[in-house]
Amino acid sequence: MVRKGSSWSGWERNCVMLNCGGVGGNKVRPFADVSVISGLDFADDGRAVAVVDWDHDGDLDLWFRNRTAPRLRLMLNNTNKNQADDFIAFRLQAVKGNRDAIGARVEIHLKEQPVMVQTLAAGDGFLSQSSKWLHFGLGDNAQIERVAVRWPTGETDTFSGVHPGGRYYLKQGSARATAWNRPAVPSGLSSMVQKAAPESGVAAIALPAKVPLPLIEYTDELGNASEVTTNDRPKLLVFWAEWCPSCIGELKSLGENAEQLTALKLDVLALEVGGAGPSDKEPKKGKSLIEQLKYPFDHGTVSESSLEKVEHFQRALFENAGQFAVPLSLLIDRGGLVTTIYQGPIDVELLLQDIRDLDANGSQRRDLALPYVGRWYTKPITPSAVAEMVGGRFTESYPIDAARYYHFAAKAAVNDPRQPQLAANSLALYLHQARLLANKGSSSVARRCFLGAVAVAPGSAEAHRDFGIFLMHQLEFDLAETHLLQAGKIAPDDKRIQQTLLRLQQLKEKGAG
Amino acid sequence: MARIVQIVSLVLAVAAILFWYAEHRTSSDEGTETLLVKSSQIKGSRPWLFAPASSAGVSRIEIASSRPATAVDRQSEKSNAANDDWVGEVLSQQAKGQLGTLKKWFETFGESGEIDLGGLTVEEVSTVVMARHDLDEVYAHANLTILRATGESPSVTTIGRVALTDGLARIVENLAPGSIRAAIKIVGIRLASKSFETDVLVVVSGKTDTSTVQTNARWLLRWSRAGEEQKAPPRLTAIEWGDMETATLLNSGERMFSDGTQSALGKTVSYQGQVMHGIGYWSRRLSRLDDMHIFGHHGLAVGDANGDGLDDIYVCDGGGLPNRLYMQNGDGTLRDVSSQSAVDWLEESRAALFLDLDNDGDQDLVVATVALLLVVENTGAGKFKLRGGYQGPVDCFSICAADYDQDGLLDLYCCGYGAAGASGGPGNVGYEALSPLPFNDARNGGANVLFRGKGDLRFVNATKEAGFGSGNSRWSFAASWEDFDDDGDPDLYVANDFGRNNLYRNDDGRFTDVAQSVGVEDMSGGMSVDWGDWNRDGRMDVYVGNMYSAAGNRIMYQRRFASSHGKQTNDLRRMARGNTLFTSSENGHFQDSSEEQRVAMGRWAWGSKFADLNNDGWSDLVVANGYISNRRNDDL
Repeated sequence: MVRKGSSWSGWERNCVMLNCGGVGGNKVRPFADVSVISGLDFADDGRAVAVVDWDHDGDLDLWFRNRTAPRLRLMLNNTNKNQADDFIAFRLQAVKGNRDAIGARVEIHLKEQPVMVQTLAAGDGFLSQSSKWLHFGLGDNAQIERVAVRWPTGETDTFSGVHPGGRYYLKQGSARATAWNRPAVPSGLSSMVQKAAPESGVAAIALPAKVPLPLIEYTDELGNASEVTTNDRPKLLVFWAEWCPSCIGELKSLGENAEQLTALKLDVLALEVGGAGPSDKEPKKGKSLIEQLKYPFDHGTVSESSLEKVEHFQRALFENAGQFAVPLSLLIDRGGLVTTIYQGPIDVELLLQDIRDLDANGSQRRDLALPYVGRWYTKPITPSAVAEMVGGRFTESYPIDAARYYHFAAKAAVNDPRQPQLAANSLALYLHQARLLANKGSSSVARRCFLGAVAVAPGSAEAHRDFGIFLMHQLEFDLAETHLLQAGKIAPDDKRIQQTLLRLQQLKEKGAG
Repeated sequence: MARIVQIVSLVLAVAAILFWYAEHRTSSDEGTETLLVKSSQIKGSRPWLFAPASSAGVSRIEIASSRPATAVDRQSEKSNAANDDWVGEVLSQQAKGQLGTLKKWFETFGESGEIDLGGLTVEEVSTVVMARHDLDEVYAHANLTILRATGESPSVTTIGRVALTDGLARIVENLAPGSIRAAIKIVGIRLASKSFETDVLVVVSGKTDTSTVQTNARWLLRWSRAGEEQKAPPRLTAIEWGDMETATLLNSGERMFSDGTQSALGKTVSYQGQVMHGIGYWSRRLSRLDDMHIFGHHGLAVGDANGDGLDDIYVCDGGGLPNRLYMQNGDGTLRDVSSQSAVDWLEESRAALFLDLDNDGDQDLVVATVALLLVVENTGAGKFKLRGGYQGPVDCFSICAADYDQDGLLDLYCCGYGAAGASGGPGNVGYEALSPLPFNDARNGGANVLFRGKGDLRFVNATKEAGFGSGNSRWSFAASWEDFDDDGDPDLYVANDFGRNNLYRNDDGRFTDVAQSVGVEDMSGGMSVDWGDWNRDGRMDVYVGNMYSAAGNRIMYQRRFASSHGKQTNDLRRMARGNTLFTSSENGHFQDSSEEQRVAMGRWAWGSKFADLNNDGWSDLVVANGYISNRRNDDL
């Protein structure tokens, strides 16, 4: 559901609970909810919180790391605007053991007040590390008697000569605190509401690896059933609707740049989605619109199930694909692999660049997908792994496409120990679908599944046998015989193959007679 | 039954991250060092990914809403409470709708045209309100005052809408019109045949000339239930006031904290793009192939990277987005040195720590990425060198350091969440790959890993030799070291999402789980842990961030849930209660002080920290929360 745009315990506001000093006397004085007056109650999806006196004004500021934008917040504490001396801070310097003194415990003993204790931690809360400066609020009229540090190695030092309002280095074994002074630079910090820019929804997304396109069926401009192929030329596939002004803008712009695009050998196919439906054999209004636009490329109407597949394709690749929206365009290389997804109208300049980058592969292609410079230490994903992942996500809803993806993955898995498993996945899906479809009488799709099965697993007796049986029922005796003989060669002990061959002979003779 | 389990799972299941370079990872090799890694340079960038968004641009993309419903649509339709036979949730949704009127009444108080509550209440609505108008002062420090009254104070009952609004006006009468904000949340519901009642938390805030005021109240609301068809919304028959508290911050216009982010980061190139776009945006543009996932579990570390005495920050980010090292200038602003410091990894990263691993006086860096734990040496003045990567948990979350064996070298504990790698299928890990079992006491998560420092920035997997055996795979999100028993060595608390929590006592470098015997098991969805001495008795207490789910509370306290879940009910209820404060007592045991101290309500809590926010000498609590906010604010 969250991947369809719903929330899940979202829009929750950060909480702040004030310690009311609830233990003095007999009265329980529980914490108070001060979330709103704290100014920290953003409806961010908060994750990490780190504590540090960032501006060195004597109170604790907070860094928040969020899932939502703004993904960082530096929240400046206004408590100590008047530079009161109601705090003290220490940075520990161990001589023995770990130099950071992580694990050291600092105790402040005060006159007529309970002790204060903090341990220096490295990593707490959630995914967070706070400053190694230990900050103590002191309250009113605190009189420090002594500060004791128990070092991680077990020794204890007592420090004197520390005063409220100060920041000190405490060095192990020295018993002497060294004051630290903030830089003598005026603060460059000020408060301002952070506002994220509105999101246009427009994006040109270069995929970090090429991904095979699912099988897309459409009705062409003459009304013939067709499917998207590439004919060894790159192709731009545009999904559009006649009710969508930016779609029309895109088609116009493609038309205006037809010469440049054709020079780069790009084919363009615009598929109308508005009229997609099982009963709509004819392209709808879009056809006349397209003629008015003088759009020079191919066009047609995409089938409903193919449109769903495109949606599914996006979901397979993106955690947050959102709702299907037009215009949507896919740039496909000569081999039928998708390289770029354009959400919203295409910027033709960018398209031209992407066509020039079509041959980029491996780490080059991965880098094309990045918004920022950075470094990887892992290898780029292999074409086989890409297809396997997408195939896994198609298995339940579109098993034939899944079989094709695994087929691709198996082919691409050169010298990869996963190759047999990928081929087996593909074979199982192809065969299962082929049998189901053959039983239902959908023979042309069944045939394609059988062809896929024998292609992905030429050594599978089962695939050849069942294909042979299927062909026999289709009265294609010669081809049936070829596959049955092949099956028999692989599995000489399979009785069913021999029986089928006998039956085939009878049918052949009958036919001849 | 299946339906109930589904709802409970939905409500209770807690975040996971997907990753799927599974083939790069195998289980950790105990006792051996698995160094690896070469770093490669990166070339291109693609600034057009976030082409400038103008407000006009928003309409440039259209939602194809005319297409028929897909299987996915039908699935999400099924999860809608209104299509469900879960009566309490339906009523709760209706009541929530009705309470919108009350919220509006508060927020427009003092402005012209008072909101009519006629549709909300019955004519003879009764109001049970505290007899006295003044509250006890329970806290005053500097410019902050807390007043309070409990639900046990003497009350009076009045009848009618006028009496009702007179009562409500007490909360807002001193606040400046237009400044008032109200939030009313239903946290409990009980059904009867013709009526039902809800517990609600009310927070109303606003300004006066001199202060900012926040009032928190807990009310019992009684509702009449409409006829069988339940078409007409329920109406309020009674409001009974319970506990109430008012916090006043003098010196208005300014709250306790102000947002200084833009002044600090605004000049960096990454601010507008990377920081000001949420994971919702990035996970539409960067694919699973880069390990960009929707959950957004990325942390940060504060430390002095270049030894100039000023703290800097290292910020982790999702796959395809570089981690950032921002260095502090003397004036508090930041500069981005990620690239020249060579720490801008693009692999999905969860957490990082600044540590002096080689005891040479500078801060080295450890980064928990989706594939490996990276160990990075500070070679001086903020330049870094990748020294190695270690096979940590397959789904690593928080990391924390201490010298548990007191050999002078820091050691690292890494929390493992999901266990599923390749077996979960491509692209699936965490709870989406493998369900936690049993749900509230799971033991089938990824194993946590303890790395023992060997010197020279090298580590060895010491998980088993240190005694972390069974109970080490409970879907851990966070851990923190503390010498809770005061014997001089660091012990370890581990917060587990689906399993009970661990408290490991350290005896000469061997660990024993004593969580049960000292009373800190906390069978909830643990997300974070922090130690602190909140009551200043000199003993360390522990605060555990858990999920709180209003929906979970509503559902699980309904009779139907209890009857269908029997003995398990209390355990499952516990899972949605919220955060837990364990207070250390003299005998070495801990008391659960969460309810008494009113610190349970942290919502869907992640980072939860002790910090004395106002220098009064007492540790307060900050809770960062919220799971996944999306465009539709429609959740349970």
